[in-house]
Amino acid sequence: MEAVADSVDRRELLEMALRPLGALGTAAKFPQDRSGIERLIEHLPPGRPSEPKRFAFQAADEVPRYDDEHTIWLVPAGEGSLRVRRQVPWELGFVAVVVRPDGRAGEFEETDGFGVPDSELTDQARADRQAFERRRREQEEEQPAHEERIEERQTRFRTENLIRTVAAPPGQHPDGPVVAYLALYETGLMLNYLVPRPPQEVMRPEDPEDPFADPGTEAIFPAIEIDDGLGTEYEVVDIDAVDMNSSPMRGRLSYTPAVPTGAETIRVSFESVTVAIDLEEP
Amino acid sequence: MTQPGFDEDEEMREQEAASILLLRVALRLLGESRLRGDFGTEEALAGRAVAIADEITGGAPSPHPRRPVIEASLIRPDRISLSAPFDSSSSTAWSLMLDGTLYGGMTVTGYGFVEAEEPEESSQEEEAERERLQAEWRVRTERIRQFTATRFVRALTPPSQPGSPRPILAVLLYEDGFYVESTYDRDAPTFDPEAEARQFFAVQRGAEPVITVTDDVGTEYFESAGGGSGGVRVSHASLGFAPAPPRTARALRITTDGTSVELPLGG
Repeated sequence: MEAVADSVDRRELLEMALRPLGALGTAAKFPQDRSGIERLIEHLPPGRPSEPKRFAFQAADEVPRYDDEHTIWLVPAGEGSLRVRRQVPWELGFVAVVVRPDGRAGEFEETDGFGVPDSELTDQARADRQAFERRRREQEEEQPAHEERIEERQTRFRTENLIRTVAAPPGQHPDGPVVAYLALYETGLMLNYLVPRPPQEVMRPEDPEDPFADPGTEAIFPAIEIDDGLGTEYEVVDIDAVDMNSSPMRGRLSYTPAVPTGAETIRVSFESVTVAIDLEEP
Repeated sequence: MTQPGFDEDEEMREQEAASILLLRVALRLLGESRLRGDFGTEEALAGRAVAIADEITGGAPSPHPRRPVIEASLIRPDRISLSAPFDSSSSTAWSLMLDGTLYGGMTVTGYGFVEAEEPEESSQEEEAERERLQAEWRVRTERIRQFTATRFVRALTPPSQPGSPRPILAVLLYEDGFYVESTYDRDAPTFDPEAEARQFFAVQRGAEPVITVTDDVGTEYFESAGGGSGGVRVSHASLGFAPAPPRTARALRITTDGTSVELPLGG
């Protein structure tokens, strides 16, 4: 199959190219040797914590590497420039662009495979190709089980599995997190709660010190523990920001396994508040 | 890789082209600014961004009739924001730090530009109709705003509803209204590779349940504060209503798809 980079791949490549350029500081040119580029990589800004990107050096005369790890390869391109290259996701092909130290970026280069005849492939390239083909076979073999897991996840809380809902006690302090109700399913448990909305200057600072901070998400998903008194270990399987625009905000966490029939109470603990919900049927 | 169908979507293509232009301009601005140690003055930055964009595009016109092809503004000496319109009402925007960190990417919509036309003289009937529509709009707006969802009181849960295709999960009572929470199953989404993005998302939006609320004292409840739903194969919906049930009401009756459930209001 021919690898084709699309505009998203090209855009993401340019996004990644900004980091080594920024890390260059006041240096006149990009380093052209391994140690210089590896030092540059050490000084790259970290980027979004939830999407760490791995950068690595590759020599200009090396056949392109494929590691399926979304690595951004920095390759000396001569005249103080860098070729920034990344694998097209899930393909044996790459998209690259040469960036000059003044920020000029060349045309996108797209290459299928290794860009050289098979007879010129190095041992490393053959190993990369074999590993890529093995991963693809494994993915194909894993596909039915993968689809089964998706099916299970998407249908776990179908209406036929709903047993009943249980309201949390009234009179909880409105200034803190408040449990609204539990939904008990044969396949799990849903916890519906409200949390105070942080002030606007916290939610949307004009000039955030940490540009990747997400105070709204942090607030709506506080640390929560649930205890049924029977030692059941609940695992969060889904999180929903039901309403982040309201004040208080509303969130929902879904857990497995189902609450055992012998459980009489669910205790929901936030950092500062614990709410006990009586499960006894009226 | 982009989902099939998106390549044919003109808006998507234009947005990506605007993003790529914005990033090429960002690279150039960063290449120049890093040597100075700052992004310069607001005015110089804005002018430089436009000049670079003109150089890259060969002077192509902006997709927006009143905005330049790239707008750059200073957040602080080591941070700038960049915006590139991709049609007459939308733009893609990012912020950039001097160390190469790109953050806060978003699509901004809704600043449409329409050539103003001289209003024609209205007849008495047209004027009356306009006033009637305005009055209707005011009432609708007041109703939507009535439920503020700021002071939660408690949740009510109904008896179990085995076999119900759209069971009511709970009512969240606030001082000035309430949310009705329900759930329903949805068919597995199908994907038509020939469909364009708009068609794809239109198909995914399922029909929301129609919910009506009554009580034993004849209160007229109306939708307020909006609502929402989400889920792939199972949807959980929340719909706001106002006013709050009066103290004299003993129970709420919630009807959806022809089936009703009653929730005692108790204390």
